[in-house]
Amino acid sequence: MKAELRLVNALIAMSVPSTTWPTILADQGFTVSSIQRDVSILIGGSSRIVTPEVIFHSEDYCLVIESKSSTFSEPQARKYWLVTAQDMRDSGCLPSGATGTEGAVPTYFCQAMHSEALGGRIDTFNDQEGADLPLVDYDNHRFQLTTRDDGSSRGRIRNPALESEFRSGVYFNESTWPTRFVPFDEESDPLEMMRPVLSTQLRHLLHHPDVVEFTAEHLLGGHPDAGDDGALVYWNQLGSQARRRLIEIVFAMVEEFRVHYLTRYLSRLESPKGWRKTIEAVDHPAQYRKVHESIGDYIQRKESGVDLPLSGNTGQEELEFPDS
Amino acid sequence: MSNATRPASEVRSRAQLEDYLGQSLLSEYFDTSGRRPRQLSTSLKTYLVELHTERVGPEELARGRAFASVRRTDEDDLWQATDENGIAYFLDVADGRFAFMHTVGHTNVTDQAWRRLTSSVPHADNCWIPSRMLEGIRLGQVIGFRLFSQSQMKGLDVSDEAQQLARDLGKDHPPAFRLQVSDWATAERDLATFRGQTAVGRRAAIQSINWRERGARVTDEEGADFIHDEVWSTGKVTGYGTSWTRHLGNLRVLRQSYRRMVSGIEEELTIRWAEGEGLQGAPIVIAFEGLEVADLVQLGGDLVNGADPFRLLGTVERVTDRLVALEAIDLHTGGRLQIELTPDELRIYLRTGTCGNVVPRFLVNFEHYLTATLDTSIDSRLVAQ
Repeated sequence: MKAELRLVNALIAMSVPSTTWPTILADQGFTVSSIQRDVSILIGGSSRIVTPEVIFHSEDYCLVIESKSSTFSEPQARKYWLVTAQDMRDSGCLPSGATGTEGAVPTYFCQAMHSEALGGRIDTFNDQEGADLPLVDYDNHRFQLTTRDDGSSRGRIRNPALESEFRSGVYFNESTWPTRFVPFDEESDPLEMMRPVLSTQLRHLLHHPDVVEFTAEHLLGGHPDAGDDGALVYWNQLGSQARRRLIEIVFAMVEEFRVHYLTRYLSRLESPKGWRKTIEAVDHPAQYRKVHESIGDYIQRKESGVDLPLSGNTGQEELEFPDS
Repeated sequence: MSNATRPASEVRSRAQLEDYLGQSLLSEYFDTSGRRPRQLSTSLKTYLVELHTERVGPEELARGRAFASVRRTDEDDLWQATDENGIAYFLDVADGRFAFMHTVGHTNVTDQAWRRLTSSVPHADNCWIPSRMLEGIRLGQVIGFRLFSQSQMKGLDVSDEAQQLARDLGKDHPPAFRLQVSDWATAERDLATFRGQTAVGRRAAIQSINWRERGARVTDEEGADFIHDEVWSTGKVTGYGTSWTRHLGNLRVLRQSYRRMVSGIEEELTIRWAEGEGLQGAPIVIAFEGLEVADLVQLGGDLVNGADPFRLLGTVERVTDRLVALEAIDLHTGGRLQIELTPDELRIYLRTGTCGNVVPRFLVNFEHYLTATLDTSIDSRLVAQ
């Protein structure tokens, strides 16, 4: 899992109740309001866009998180420094109830190994712009608001409670680091998407007589006849470009899987691009297991770089209905 | 001796069922040839079963492998089933989700039918009662209990001593620890002592608790009416005594507590996006205190291989050396869930539409076959009554 997603999962987990992970965001009333969604901002009469990793809101604050590596962009930092709650509300990144009267709380995060290089650049930016953009770094044990080399303050988290918490250090047990709130995004390796997506497809095949047809979007965001929310809980909070990209990737993946393993059960639809069940349901335990095994086989082949069977018949033969 | 009751086949209503089961508690009924009264059965048994009746009717039950036939009685929400041995079962499905399945057949037979029901019929499942809930329920005076523990799951680091013992006995797993106390006046205090003050008591799950409830009313022949109900962690309740009504009352208390737990889990912890409110819910943490899972991939694979008792079908992904992620479908209802497994805890991300019964299913089976020293993030007001 790439660093940005790891961070997003860690911070989201801080905003929900937990007995094993820090809950400092939940304690201050923060909840997630958007994930990787574009925010339009106005700077000097010009429109600019930033795409924070995640935005949280409380009654009065909007916490805007950007995940950084060691690279630093001054224009980007300026945009984060100037983003407002109104920008986020206008961009559909805040629910209507969030007032954001205390304004935006932009905060940079990076892995501890990038802290030194990035910190120096942020110091320069803050000095030149009269800003106090904060940087929180993290390792496998804690999150920590960083300071300048001389120990003085580098930047300020514009929420006093969070400022105090991160300045003291937010400690955790590494093995409890959560990863399933956002298991993948459009920039993830498609291999990371296979398990959640194919499990959702398996659900449609096994248990939903009401679901006759489905698309890649249904697998990602939920099917109206299935009563669930698909592989990504936050699908509707994603920007349209990210959604289009994910639909393309997932369609190609599931179609490849179908061609090699599931032609007996699924036929392809052209408009909208998706699939139709060829039988009512895979409803025999032996069939469950065969479909399940085929998912395992597909994943194993893809992960090990082994070619898929050239003939679609190879997989189909294994998925024949049992006689009894 | 009282008059003998009607045969099971003539039961058409709850009133007649009360008559039939009430007298069976006293063993006052004819055998099948109708010659003379004798005890045909062991105790009255009621299985508390989760049955999503919006999805399952008598026809679907009959198509499963549990029963030879299923029909409605004169009351739509009271069904009668008969197994291949001719044993009768009465399913009270008025609750719509948590049904009572009553029978007076012998345990050897009826337990089999119950297992077939919960493993072969989609939307049917046991009601899994964790130790904390069993301890917290009050159904009278505790007069007995059973403790159980067995290291049966894959991926555990079983001691050399235990492995050697299993080999000597020709078993796949180390033998189970079992402790039974029955008909014992100070059982409640002894249970608390075992669980609170002994290492073996802490490591073992509560498999059942037997309660005695005795009324004030005195009848001519029987003395005060009473019921002894043994409640098992798998949802079985065996009743012995003179009062059907007290047995039914205990079942209703049990069901109420269980419903509160499962509904609470679904309403408070399901991970979902609520329009205008953002992300809701939280992962459910089950921490294994004093235990480290040695092989996460093996245990993870065992959890999602589609087999009983977990009934989950899914995939295993090694994220790091100390974390595997499972994507699973619950074969009970087809709901999705995501799981993270580390050496010392399991985290369940319950998804919209997924039945919360999967959580106590984990708790009870982990308590029995992994370790009973579990700590969960589920609010204690939901589990401990």
